[in-house]
Amino acid sequence: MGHVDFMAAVGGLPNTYVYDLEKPGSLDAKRRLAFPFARKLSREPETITRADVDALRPEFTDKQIVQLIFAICHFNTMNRLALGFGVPLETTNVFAPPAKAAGSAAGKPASPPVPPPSEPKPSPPRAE
Amino acid sequence: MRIRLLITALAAAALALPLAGCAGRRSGSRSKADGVATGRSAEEIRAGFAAEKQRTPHLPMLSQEAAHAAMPDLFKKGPMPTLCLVGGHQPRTMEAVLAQAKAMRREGDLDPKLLNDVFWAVSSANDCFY
Repeated sequence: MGHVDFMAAVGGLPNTYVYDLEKPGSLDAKRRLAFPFARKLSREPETITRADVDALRPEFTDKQIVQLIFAICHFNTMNRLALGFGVPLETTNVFAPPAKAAGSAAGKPASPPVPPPSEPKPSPPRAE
Repeated sequence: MRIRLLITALAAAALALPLAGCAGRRSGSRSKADGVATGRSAEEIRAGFAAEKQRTPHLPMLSQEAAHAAMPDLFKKGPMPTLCLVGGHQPRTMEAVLAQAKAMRREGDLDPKLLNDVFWAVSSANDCFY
């Protein structure tokens, strides 16, 4: 969760952004479908059914659902590594450009949304 | 006597759980009926972040210098995340894990911002404040 907050800060999102992700009423259609699927695949993967996948179809193509499942599985890997290693959350934003690294994690002005520096810059965000 | 000791030990373990970071926070009580979000308050999130920064790793962390030397293509412009400092004991594996994410993002067209939000949903489900 801390790293998502870091990335939101780098992306220029308000420092309250992640708080709203905990409020179902504030989520758009894609997130209202993707979040429960992500929760279920994370906590009860053996209970995922065809109906769970079909429920995503109004907002996602088959190819996007494949990517979503890969993403959820990768995020679970990262969570489990962090939990297994017991590593502390960094006190500075490790995803911020070097000049900003000493600043606080959230609420800093933003450059365009970016994934962690180890990853390539994505193509420009598309309208969802 | 043994039973009393056992009860004392179990009580101590139960008290210690909330201090044990992510691993101690996982609870089924967080599941909301709608399954969309866990419903944590801003205060709970801030407290979770603060506690997470105080954790002591279960395993030794490489120095920043050693981690950069072992994984020169990662985080070239800044400090390595602590996860990489432990994962760096198996540098090729650590690199492969991050390369997997890179491939996943490159091959798909989902909005990176949506993916980051899904990362939140997964981490929240796992009670992982890292």
